[in-house]
Amino acid sequence: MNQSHIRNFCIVAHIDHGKSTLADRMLEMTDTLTSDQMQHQVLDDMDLERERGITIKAHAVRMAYRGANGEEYEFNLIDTPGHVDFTYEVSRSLAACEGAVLLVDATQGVEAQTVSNLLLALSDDLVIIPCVNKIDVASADVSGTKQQIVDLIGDGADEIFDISAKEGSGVQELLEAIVERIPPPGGAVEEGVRALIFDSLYDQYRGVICFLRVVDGSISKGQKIRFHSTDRVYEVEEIGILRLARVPTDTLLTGEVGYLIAGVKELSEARVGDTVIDADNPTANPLPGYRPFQPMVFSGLYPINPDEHQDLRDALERLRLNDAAFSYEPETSPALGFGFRCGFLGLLHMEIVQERLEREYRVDLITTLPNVRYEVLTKSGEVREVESPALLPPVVEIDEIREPILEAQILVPSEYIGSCMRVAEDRRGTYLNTEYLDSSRAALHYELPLAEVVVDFYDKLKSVSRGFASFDYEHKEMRAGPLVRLDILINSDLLDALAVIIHRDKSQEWGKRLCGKLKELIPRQMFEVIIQAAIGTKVIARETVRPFRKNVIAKCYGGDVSRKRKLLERQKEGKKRMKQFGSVEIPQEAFLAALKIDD
Amino acid sequence: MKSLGLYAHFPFCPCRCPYCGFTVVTGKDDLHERYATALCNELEAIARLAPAEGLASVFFGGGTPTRLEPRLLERILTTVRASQGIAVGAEITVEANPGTTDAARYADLRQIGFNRISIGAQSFFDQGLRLLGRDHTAADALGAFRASRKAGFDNVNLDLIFSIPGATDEDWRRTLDVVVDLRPEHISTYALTLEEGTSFQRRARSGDLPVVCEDDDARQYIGGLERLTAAGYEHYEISNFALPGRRSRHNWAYWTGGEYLGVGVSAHRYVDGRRSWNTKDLPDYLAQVEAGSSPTEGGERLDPAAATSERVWLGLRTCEGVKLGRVEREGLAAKRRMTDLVRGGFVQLEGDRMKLTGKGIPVADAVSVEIVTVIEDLARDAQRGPDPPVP
Ligand SMILES: Nc1nc2c(ncn2[C@@H]2O[C@H](COP(=O)(O)OP(=O)(O)OP(=O)(O)O)[C@@H](O)[C@H]2O)c(=O)[nH]1
Ligand SMILES: C[S@@+](CC[C@H](N)C(=O)[O-])C[C@H]1O[C@@H](n2cnc3c(N)ncnc32)[C@H](O)[C@@H]1O
Ligand code: SF4
Ligand SMILES: [Mg+2]
Repeated sequence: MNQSHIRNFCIVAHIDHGKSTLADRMLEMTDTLTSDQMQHQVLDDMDLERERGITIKAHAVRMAYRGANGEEYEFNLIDTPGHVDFTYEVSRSLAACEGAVLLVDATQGVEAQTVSNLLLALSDDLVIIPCVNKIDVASADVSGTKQQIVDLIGDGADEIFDISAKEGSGVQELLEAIVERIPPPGGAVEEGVRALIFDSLYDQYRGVICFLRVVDGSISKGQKIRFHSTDRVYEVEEIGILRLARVPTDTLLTGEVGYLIAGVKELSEARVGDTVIDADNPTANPLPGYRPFQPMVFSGLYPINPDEHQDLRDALERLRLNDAAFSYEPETSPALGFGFRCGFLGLLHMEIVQERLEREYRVDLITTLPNVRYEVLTKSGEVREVESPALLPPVVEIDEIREPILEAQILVPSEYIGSCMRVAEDRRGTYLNTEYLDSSRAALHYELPLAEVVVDFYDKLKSVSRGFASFDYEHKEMRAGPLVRLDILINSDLLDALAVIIHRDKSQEWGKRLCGKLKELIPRQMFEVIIQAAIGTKVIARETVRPFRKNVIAKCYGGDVSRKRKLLERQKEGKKRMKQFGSVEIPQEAFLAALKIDD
Repeated sequence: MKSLGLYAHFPFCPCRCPYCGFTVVTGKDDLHERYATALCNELEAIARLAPAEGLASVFFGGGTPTRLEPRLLERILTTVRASQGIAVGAEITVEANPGTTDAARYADLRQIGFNRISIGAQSFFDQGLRLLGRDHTAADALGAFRASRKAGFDNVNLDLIFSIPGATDEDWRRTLDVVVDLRPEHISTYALTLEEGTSFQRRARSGDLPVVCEDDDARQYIGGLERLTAAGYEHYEISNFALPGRRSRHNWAYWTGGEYLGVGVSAHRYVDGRRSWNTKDLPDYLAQVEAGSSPTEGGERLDPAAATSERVWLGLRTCEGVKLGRVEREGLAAKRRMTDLVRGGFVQLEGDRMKLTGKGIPVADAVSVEIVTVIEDLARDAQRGPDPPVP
C-alpha cells in the first residue's frame, strides 16, 4: 500500500464509553468481517473480556476502506481498554498511531480517563478526532457533552462528531474524517528498518508473536533482524497483518502495522517498546520506547492444596508469558506454606489474574489482602523495599516507614463535591485544590496514599455520586507516616497472611472490623476459634467463633445412606476449599475479608 | 451365609404432612389392590437370596402401610414367606400412623404375623402435633399405643420429633415424660429436618416458619438423650433408644453393613456390596412391574476407599462404633487431625473399636467428615508417600 494511503489510529475513552462497539461498526462498514463473524465487541475475544463486557488487552486490526474519493485506504485500528489499571496498554498503542478517536459517552460526559487518555494522546502529538457517542440514548446530553469536550481540548476541537456506535449513525462521516484529518505515517522506505514492538504475546506453538509498527524501511519474510535492546539476531519466519486472525504476507512496509514471528523463545527477549532493526546495522538509532510500568499492588498467591505448588508455579509462568504487566516471585508463609508474591497494576488486574489462574489453570487459590510497596528506613540507615507486611523488620529496627502517595484527580458533578471530599478525607487525602471544568463539573485534586485507594476507593466514590464521579491518579512520591503493622492471631497463632500495614489512627477501628468480618466468614467447626487483632503484643480486638453444638443428620436408613454420603462429600469438598491452619479451617474468602469490611 | 433383611415401601397416606419428604401419594387409595399385586410380583421376580433359614427381619414402612387392608398386607407377607422365607424369631415390623388406625386394626396386624410395631406418635402434646400439621391428637397417639399393647404387641416403637418450630423445651420434656411412663420397648427421637421440596422448607426459606437454631436443637437433643438413658433406655444409635435386648434388628443392619432387599416404589436395597433403588414414581413403578420388567432405576457400587469411609461414618452412628484394622488404627493415630479429635474428646479408641464420646455424638457428622478426610489422606499417602514438610 502506498504510504500516503495508510492511516494508523486508535480509539481511546473512559471505560464503557463504547470503543469496542465503535470498532464493531468500523469492521462492518469496511466489510472486514462477514456477517457470520460479527458479534458484539468482536475484538474482545478473551473469555474474561466477554464475560465482564470490558476490554482488557488492546487489539489491533487492519481494514480496507474505500474513501469518498474512490480510493482505497489501509486503516490500522487499535481498540484500547478504558479501565485505569490498563492505561499502559493505551500508552503503548498510541505510539503506533498518528491519530486517536476520542469517544465521550453523551449519557456520562467527560470522565477521568477521558482526560488522562486525551493527555497521553496529546503528549504523543496525535491528531485527535473527538466524538460524542451514544446519541441514540434518550438521556444523552449531546450539547452539554460537546461543551465539556470543547472546554477540555480548547481550540483543538474543530469538529466534534455525533455518533451512535451501537446504531452506526455518524460512523461513515467519522471514517471519512480519519482519511482527511489523520496524517499518513511519515518515515522513509529506503532507510534501514526501524519498527516499534508495541505488544507481544506468547503462543505455545509459535513462540513469541510481536506486534509492531514499521516506522522506517520494511521487513520481509526470511530477513535477518536484530532487537535493539537485547542485541539478539533472528530470522523472520513469518510476517503478516492482523485481521480477526493473523494473515501472513511477504512484507510489511513503512508505516504499516502487523505481526512478526521470528523464533523468539521467551517474552523477555521481545520487550514491548523495543526497536526492531536490520541485523547488519547494529548502530541504528532506537525509537523512543515506553516508560516501564510498575506494579502498584502486591498480594500473596498460595495454592489451597500444598500439592499444587508446582502447578501454580507453572501456571504463573505461562500466564506471565501473556501478561508482561504482572510479576511474581516465590514467597513462603508460616501459615500458608509455599506461594508467590505477585505484583499487579491494580485490583481489577489482580482479580483477572486470579480468575484466570483458577479457571484456565485450575488451581484453587488463596489470595492475601493486596498491599502497596513500602520503603523502610532502618536505624542502620539502610532503605529496604517491603512488598509484604510480613516482611516488615521488627519495630525496634525501624526509623521510618514510607508509603506511596498519589496525586489524584476526581471528576465529579458539582452536587457531589461534598460527598466525594468526605470520601477522600476519610482515606487520609490531603486536599490540594478544586478546578471547575464548567458550571456543573469540578476536578478535585488530592494527595492520597495509594494504600487507601487500592481497596474499594473507586467503588466508594461511585456510590456517593450515583456513578458520576470518576477518578485518575499518578504516582507522586514516597512519604513517611505513622504506620504500624496490625497482626491477626487465630487461636494465638500469628496468621501472617492477614497482617496489614496501616496508619496508627486507623488501626483500632480496622482491627475491630476485621475481627468482626472474620467471625462472619470463618464457619463454626469442631473447635472454638479465637480471633485477635494485635499491634506488637497489644491485643486491640477479639472475637470468638463458637464450636458446633449439633451437626448430625437425624435419619440414616436404607434410602438415606446414599443421600447422606453425598452430603458428607459436599462437606468434604467444602473443606478442600479451606486452608488448614493448626486445627482451624479458614475459608478462602477470609483472606480477602478486609476487602469486604464494609459489606 | 450372611443374614438378610427386607424392606417394603407403602407410599399411601391420607394427606401429606408439611415436613414429610418421603415418597408418598395421597388420594390414590384405589390403587391399593394393584400395588399389593405389584409388590407380590416384584417379590416373586427376585431370586431367592435369603439364607436357608429365611429373612432375619422384615420391615413394612412408608408412607402408611396400615392404609392397606389387612388382607392385602397378609397377602404380601405370605408372598415374602413363599419367595424368600422368614426365619423363626425374625423381627417383623410394620409402621402405623395414629390418625388412621383403629383399635381393631392392631389385632389384625398382630394376627397376620407382625411382631413389632412402630407408631408415628411424634408428640404427646397437642400443640406440638398442630405445629407439625399432623392429623391426629395426643389422645389418638396414646390410644394407638394402648391398642397395640392390647393387641399383644410386646415390641413397640414410638417415633418422636423434637425441635419443632414454635414449640418449647418444656413441650419436649412433657412428651418425654409421657413416653417414659408408657415404657415402649423402643423409641426414636428425630430432630425435625427441613427436607428438600417440603412445604416446611419453603416456608422456612421465605421466613414464614421460624427455624430452630443450632443451640436450641442441641439442647433438646441432649435433654432427650439424658432423660431416656436415665429411664433405662440404651442410646444405641444417634436417633434410637431401646430397652435392653430391644434394638431394632432390621435398622441395625443399615448401620453395620448388613444386607437387605428392598421392594416397592422408591425402595433401596444393598446386596453383594451393591446398592440400588427403585423408581420413585408410582405409575412408573406399577407400569414396570406389570410389564414384567425391573423397577430398578439406579445403583452404585462403592470403590474400596468410599466403602471404608461409609463403614466408618455409619458405624460411628452406633454405640458400638466401628471396628478398625491394625493398619487403619496406626495410620489414623499418626495424623494430627485425628489426635486433635481424640484429645478434644470427640472420639475414643477402645481396643480395636473407635467410638464417639458423649461430646462427639451431637456433632457426629462433623467428626465423620474429619475422620473420612484423614482416611482419604492415608489412602493418598499410601499411593505416593507422605506429605512434604511444612516450612
Ligand atoms: N445505546 C448505546 N449503547 C452503546 C453505544 N455504544 C456502546 N454502547 C454500549 O455501551 C456498553 C459498553 O460498550 P463497549 O463498546 O464495550 O465499551 P468500551 O469503551 O469498549 O469499554 P472498555 O473496553 O471496557 O473500556 C455496551 O453495553 C454497549 O452496547 C451507543 O452508541 N448507544
Ligand atoms: C417413615 S416415617 C413415616 C411414619 C408414618 N407415616 C407417620 O408419619 O407416622 C417414620 C418417621 O420419620 C419421622 N420423620 C418424618 N419426616 C421427618 C422430618 N422431616 N424430620 C424428622 N423426622 C421425620 C417421623 O417421626 C416418622 O414417624
Ligand atoms: S403420614 Fe408419615 S409418611 Fe405420610 S405424609 Fe405424614 S409423615 Fe409422611
Ligand atoms: Mg472495549
